[in-house]
Amino acid sequence: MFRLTLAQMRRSLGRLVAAGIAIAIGTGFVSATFLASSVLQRGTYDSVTAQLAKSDLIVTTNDDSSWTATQAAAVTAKIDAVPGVTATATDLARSVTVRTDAAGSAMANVVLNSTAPTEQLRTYGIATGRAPSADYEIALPQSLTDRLGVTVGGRVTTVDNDVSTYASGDVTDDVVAPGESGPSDELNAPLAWTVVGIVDDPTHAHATEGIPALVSPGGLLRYSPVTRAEAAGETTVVGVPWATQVLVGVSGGTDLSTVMSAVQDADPQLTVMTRDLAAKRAVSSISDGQDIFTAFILGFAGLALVVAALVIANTFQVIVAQRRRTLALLRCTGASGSQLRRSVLLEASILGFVASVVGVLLGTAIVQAALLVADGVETSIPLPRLVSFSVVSILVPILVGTVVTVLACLLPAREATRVPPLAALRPQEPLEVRSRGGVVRLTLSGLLAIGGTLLLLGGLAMAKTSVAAGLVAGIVGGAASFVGIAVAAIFWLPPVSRWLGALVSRSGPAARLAAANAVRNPRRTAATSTALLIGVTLVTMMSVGAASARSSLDQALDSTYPVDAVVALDGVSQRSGADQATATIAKVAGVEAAATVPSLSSVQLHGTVDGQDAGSSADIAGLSVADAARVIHDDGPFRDLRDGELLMNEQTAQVGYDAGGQAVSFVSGDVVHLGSGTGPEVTVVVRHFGGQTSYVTPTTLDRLAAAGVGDGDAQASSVAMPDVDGSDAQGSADAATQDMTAGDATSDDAATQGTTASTVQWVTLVAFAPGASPSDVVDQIDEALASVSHWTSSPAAERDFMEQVIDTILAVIVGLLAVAVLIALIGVANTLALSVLERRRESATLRAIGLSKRQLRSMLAIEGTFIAGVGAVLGVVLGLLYGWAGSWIVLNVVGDVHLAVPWRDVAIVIGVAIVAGLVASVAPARSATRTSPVEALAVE
Amino acid sequence: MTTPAAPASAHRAAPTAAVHARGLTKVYGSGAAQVHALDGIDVDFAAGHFTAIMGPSGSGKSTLMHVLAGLDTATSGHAFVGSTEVTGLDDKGLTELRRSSVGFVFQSFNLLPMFTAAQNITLPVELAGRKVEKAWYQTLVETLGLTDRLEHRPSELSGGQQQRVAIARALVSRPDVVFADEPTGNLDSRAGAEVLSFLRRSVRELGRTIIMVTHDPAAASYADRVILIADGKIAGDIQDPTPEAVLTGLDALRSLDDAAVVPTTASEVAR
Repeated sequence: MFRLTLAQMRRSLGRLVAAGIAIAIGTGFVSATFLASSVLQRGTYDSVTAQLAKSDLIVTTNDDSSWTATQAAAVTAKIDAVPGVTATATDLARSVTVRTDAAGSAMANVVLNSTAPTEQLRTYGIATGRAPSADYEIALPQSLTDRLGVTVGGRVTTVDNDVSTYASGDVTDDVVAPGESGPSDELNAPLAWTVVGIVDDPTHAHATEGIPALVSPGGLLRYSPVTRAEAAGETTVVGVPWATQVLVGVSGGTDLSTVMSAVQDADPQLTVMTRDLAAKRAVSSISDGQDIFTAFILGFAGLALVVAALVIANTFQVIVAQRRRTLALLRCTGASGSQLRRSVLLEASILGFVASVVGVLLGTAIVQAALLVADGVETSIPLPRLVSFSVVSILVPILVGTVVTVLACLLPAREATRVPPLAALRPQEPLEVRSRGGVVRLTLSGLLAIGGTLLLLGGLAMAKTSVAAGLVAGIVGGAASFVGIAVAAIFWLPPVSRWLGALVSRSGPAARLAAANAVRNPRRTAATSTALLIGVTLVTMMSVGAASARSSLDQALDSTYPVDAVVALDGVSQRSGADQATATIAKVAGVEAAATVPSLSSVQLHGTVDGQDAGSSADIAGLSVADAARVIHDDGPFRDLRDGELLMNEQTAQVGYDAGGQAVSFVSGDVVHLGSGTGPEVTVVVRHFGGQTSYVTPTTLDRLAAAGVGDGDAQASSVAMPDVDGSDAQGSADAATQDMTAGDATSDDAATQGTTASTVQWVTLVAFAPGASPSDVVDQIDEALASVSHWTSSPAAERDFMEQVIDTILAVIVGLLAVAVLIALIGVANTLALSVLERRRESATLRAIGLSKRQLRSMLAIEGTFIAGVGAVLGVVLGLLYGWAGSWIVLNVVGDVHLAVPWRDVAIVIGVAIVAGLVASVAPARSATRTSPVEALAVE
Repeated sequence: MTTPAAPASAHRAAPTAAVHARGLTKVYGSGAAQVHALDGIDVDFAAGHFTAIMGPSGSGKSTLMHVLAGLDTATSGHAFVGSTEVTGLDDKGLTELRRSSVGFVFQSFNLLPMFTAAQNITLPVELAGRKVEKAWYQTLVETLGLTDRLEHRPSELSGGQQQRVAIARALVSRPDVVFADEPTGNLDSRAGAEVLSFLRRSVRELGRTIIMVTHDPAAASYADRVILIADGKIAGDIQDPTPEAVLTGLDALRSLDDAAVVPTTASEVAR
């Protein structure tokens, strides 16, 4: 039987290869996922453990928070005092920009780490030169010194990333010379360093943080303006020097647990761990995330395998049908039904195994190629140069691939046993594969489809009250109904294709033949189209989701932000300075209009709602009707603003909730006192507009400021200095400053009250010219205002950034789904090739009765396009529905959901399917046109 | 095809020949394995006649038909359908020839399973991008007794009915000649006789020209003329055959086959 199986495989080699490619791609995907995950894990493990050096104990905070430099110094002092401790080192670090002394044109962001006092606690080596020991000495990695063009003994300058963003003045001017500590009011001053060595970091100990540079602990403190300020006791200055752990060396012969408990006793706020435990903890916290990530990708790989299984089941069904006579002959000569079944399954296992091995090789090659590419680039994650295999990464894909292939062949194998011996005696009949699915299948798939759809609809209803519940119901229901619809494809796809075929038929005899051919074997066409339908549905769904998110986001942002950009002029205290800045901004290309607006932050509101005392706080800006018309998108609510009125929107007017959970709000006409219960009076006007700010006329604002209303403490503006992330893509948009005025409207308690006039903060509202790139305009505004301390936040730029994020996520997911689509397209080609093979005689007959080669080719092209097109079109329809449902569930909390149709993506999906259908028909058409009409006369 | 039905006595003259061949040779293989399937055949098939080609297996009768119909190429010599030289046509010309001048009836019917009888019949005309002649179509359907079978698919028709549909399909574009390859090979004797009667009626009543390859003397006896082929040469020519005459002719071939292998002698004796 084994020899027979092999002989039969040889005869159907071409078909098997095509099916094998499908399974190889699927297993390649699985194997690449495993390998990539283990590569990442290995890299992070090395890096994480390297960060612990050879320390004996690791000390962290209880709650995984970080220390400031002063706090870290205090902690190390306590630990140093514990008997048995020989040395301590913190991982205090600071992100800075380094440039060469001269022109400063070459620059790079590095992370300054401090040297450790002993070899035991050192996480870096020094390749050449020596480790920094004095202040203003620095060691850099070779790659960086090459880039900057400095050598050991050369000089470099650094600028603090966290300070320079809101620095005033020209930062390149005032370099603090070594040995001279800058005064605290020049926090932003650059520092000059001497390069004393080259850092060697073979284990990528800190590669996850950035390019490492090494300075002495004193140098690190001395360096950072913020830490310097902190050291000087200026606790109000917010900066971010991280220290998350202290490495501790313990003298040999001391009992580790004694030292541990002593350290613990020294400060109960600390967590003390052995190095092994710390390594384990760090690795597991990282690998948990990676495991989820791996599972996520494996989900897509599983999908690809399901599609591959469909392709394989299809191929084997045809192979069995083609061998009908041979199988019958075998039955005649004494083979039992189960022997035939075993033969088919054996064939499937051999194919599955061989294809899976090829797939693993393919996956390995891809990951290795990616590593080679990554080797030449600086990556944030340390990567090994070579793929390291694990048992899992080889065995699991092979096992899964083989099992999937065998499972896919169970049905064809059963069909093989059903060939009656008598079939050998009959002339070969045209293949008629039964098109009826079983009652069980109909029932099960029907239940899944209907139940799932109902659950999905339930999810839509639930989403109004709870997004989480709606999402769970939506995902489960959507998945169930889709599985049901896919499994039931055999019932509904053929009639739908027949109907679509009738449409196609009208365009000529070749099209009529093609449409008739495409639907003559409903089961095969259904399986082929389903394979494609799965991928296309998911791709379309994702694309619809992204498009809906994008357009709903547009709407949400439009209503949240009434203007294109807000420039908070922190460094300006007078109206004249603000007007000057506004004039500068107005000249920037891409700016259509700019208006100077005075504002007061955290103004207390006192009034009554339903007879009860009610209060809240608000940021108030003074905006004239004329300025509103120039810079506000929809200035309707602002047009009739009068002196003595306070314009609020529904959110800002809300005071709180009553006992029943109903919102309690000020309403139009309410009179409130500002600043205190006896402060100036204004009349509330509630209108619908975006943002968190309330508005009065400039005249009213002047009156309020004169009365000392609002958070007039000058100190507050520096407290409110947002904690900016220097790597922010826009360099300006920051969530904390969405609002027009700096400060926190909800947590700031009682405003300073008094009769002294409060400090007015100045902001410039900006409207962009239509078509201008928001991020470019923001960059140019920042450039133009370089000499003024300011903050630019731009919802338009933020939207740009969000859209980039959405597009990137979409691209990644579509990329992952594309594997399933690719396999399905291979399935289309395979089905077409098999059909052509089966219809050799029919093609010859058609040629004999007047079908030209050209017509034959176009017939097959139409057939291929039709099979692919049906899957693609139906997939797009389903994808739109699912995408809309999902978008609605997720986005209806954000506001009105805009159900978008991503026409461009839909066109691409259908275009790809049609082109693939055409391409799939090329090879079969070539073999079909080679068939001589003589074959029509031949009797098998 | 515009020539009306000619009387059965028409002579072998080029002007009235629907199909003729001169020096037609087909060689398979090369060197020692060389086989002359056709060995310099000269033959004329009169228009409006029903001619049968007979011969033992491997005699070259099928090859002769394939080459005459342009389905296969000749090694040398010339074959003509009407005044068109088939042996010189490229694929495009051959397709055009099949559309306008040649019809085929196959042993295993070769109807398209997904189309109804009516759709099968009109397919050649549609492939050629022409309009179906309603009157001619009606005549064919009635003559072949298919009126109440037109909406059936091949799987719902008996073998005889399927072959009648195939004949209608072959005749629908009024070709100069219809080639029938063992048209009764897959039919029982009653259905076979019926199909042969229809073929004869389409020659006598509709004025068509039919060339049929068969190995069944009874089938051949429906023809106006039987041409016997042996070893790639014309080995006999029987006008107005009866089954007995055909059998006698075949027997003569067979005994010669058994006795000697000198082809020239064989053909002379048979003649």
